[in-house]
Amino acid sequence: MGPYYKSVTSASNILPLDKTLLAEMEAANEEELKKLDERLAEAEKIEGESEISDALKARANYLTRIGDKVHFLCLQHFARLHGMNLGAIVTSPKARTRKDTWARVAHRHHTHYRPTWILLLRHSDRDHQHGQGGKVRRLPVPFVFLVDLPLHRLIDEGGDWDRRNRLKVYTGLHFLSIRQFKRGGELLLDALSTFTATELLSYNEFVGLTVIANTLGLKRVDLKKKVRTFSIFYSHMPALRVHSQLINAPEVNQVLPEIPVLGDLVKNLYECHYDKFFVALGGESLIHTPLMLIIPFPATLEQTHLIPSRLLSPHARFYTREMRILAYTQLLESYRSLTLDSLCSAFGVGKNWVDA
Amino acid sequence: MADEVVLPIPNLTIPQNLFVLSNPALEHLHDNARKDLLEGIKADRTYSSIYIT
Repeated sequence: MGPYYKSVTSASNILPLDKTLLAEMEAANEEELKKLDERLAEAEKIEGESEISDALKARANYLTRIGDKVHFLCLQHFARLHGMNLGAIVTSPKARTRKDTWARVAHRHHTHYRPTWILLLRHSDRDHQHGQGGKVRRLPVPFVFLVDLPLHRLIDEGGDWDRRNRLKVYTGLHFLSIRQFKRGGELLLDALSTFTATELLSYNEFVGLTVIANTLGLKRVDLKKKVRTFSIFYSHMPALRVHSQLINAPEVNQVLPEIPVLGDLVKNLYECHYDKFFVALGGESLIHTPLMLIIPFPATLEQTHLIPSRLLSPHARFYTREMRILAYTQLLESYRSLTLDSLCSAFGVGKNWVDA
Repeated sequence: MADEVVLPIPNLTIPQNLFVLSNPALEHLHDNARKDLLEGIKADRTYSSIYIT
């Protein structure tokens, strides 16, 4: 982790530099890279192309592990120039003619591309420029591999349920990161009872994100019970009817007591206690509520889950605004007319706020 | 490297902590994030070279 530690400590004052620790890490990295260099030299001298490719992969993996982004990308470029793409085993015709199942190939593909996306996940590479045939695309999220790889098709054709569910979680998070709360929420809800992607996030975090996404994405009646018809990724696949619910789901009920603000949010929206809902949500409307006189800084969803989250932070304002609109719509749709006073009383805010 | 060797996923709390530290509005979380970030980096430092087969 020498290069990563160096980049973190040199970029700003966020972490003080411990020179002894850095020297120790660099020495360990140097020793390891020396071994990998020797192995590569040996492969180039006496062994074949696949051994050279293996040695390059080993070096790429190690560079990934220690967070040496610059050298990793150079190495990847070098490998491509010499026709040794790290993912070549999947795209080569030879691999396709083998008796391997698609799942096996998908697994290999996943394995071989992992150095790239592991590195990008770690470096939060939102602006990673990925060029193909001279084109440069700006990819909005660190989940670059989802855009690049035909993983959906491969897993559709031969993946087991575990990989399908993992992919749902990965794709769901990808959608949340690009502000597609409805689509992301659906995928997360589908994976709720069979969550296994603990390598990506903890179970409580997963349930929290599922609730956050679906509170915005689902209608009020659907929060309690939902029957949906959908096809997973491709329109030609037979549609599935899935019974899923959010409020009464045992997985959610188990976790919500540990995240009280989230429980307050869903419960109050469902039971139409909009004043309490606003308090749980946070954001601009909160400063206009009488509660602020009693508790100046109550724990709110915005402060505890949206702004501190790397994934949701860019969408915090959007989310709170959309949730407020959802609450207004929910109340206003129930009546033909509503006085300003009763509206203010329902939301627990002043007339000036509603008027504005 | 054998094709079946699945590389471990790194500690993804590291970029989260880095994000918290780089956001001045989250100053109240900085102490914990700094501690966790350093611990995460140190933990990954001792990683053995499983990539060499």
